[in-house]
Amino acid sequence: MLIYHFCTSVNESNVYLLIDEESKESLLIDVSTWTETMQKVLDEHRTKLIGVFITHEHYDHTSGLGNLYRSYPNLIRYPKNEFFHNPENENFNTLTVGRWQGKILPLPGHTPESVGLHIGNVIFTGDALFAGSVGGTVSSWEAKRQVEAIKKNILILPEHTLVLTGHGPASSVGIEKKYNPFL
Amino acid sequence: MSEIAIIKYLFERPSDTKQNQILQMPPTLSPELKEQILKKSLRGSNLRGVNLMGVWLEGIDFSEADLTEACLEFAILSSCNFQNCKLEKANLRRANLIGANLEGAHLREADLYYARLTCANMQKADLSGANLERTILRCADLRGAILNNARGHPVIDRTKMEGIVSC
Repeated sequence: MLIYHFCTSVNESNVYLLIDEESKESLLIDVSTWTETMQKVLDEHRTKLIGVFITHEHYDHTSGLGNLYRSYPNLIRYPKNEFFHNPENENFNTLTVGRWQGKILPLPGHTPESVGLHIGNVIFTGDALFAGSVGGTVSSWEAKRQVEAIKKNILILPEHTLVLTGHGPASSVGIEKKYNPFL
Repeated sequence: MSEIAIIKYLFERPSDTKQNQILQMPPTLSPELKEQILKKSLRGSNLRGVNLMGVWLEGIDFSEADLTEACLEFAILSSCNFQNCKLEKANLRRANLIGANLEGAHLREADLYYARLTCANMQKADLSGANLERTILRCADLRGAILNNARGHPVIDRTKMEGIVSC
């Protein structure tokens, strides 16, 4: 599994492109912008883009959707709407990229519909969890809900799991367990 | 320019972090340096100007090493030992330095823009002229650090700051 990490000029948010090199299938994670460089990487690897995974509905994670859909009008968007009604249903909380099967994890708090994606030994956390910090929330109740979701869904993963966040550098589950003062 | 930085991560064996670490290293690094990184000890090494952008270097001993003008942007440097390390003019933008030991490190004119230094030990570090814009110093220990002409608006929260030298 190859992952490209693009730090973009839209609020310095991160866009990730996950490629399964064997099947050539690929998945975008968030799309603050859709650029020629990203298209070039896709073309160079001759991948088939099967979908776009949106961690939450803020502009700095979705602004590129319009341009992306102009290039790929039939792209599947994840999570599907049904996921939010049935987050435990395997028909809606899993997705497959070539040889890799990912699980969609609810991480409410930063926004009510915030989600993460655990695939291979990587977790994409959007703005729920950052290196050494957590996402901003509108109330202490949402903050508590977010921490509970992180503990339940992320901190149980193996410590070497790479944490790829919506902004800033990568981390690992082990680093966050040891040092994150919010958890 | 829509991309500020592009980093590549490669995973073939989900449970093999050592393998991942090798695959993330730039192809320009010498085999000797790669081997030293895997042994987690670069103590006293001459690494001036080295490019380790985005590389997973967690827990490595860089004490007394010379990383002057090195590029460590987006690198994962959590729990690394940089005691008395030379990091003058180093690019540490958006680096993960959580829990790192930077006691007595020489960071003059280093660029720490948006770097994560949560719980880092920066006692007596020389940060003269450093860029601290958006640098996260939450729970960090800056006692006795030198901040002459350091600039920017870092995040200060539960940061130990007694005896800081600043003008």
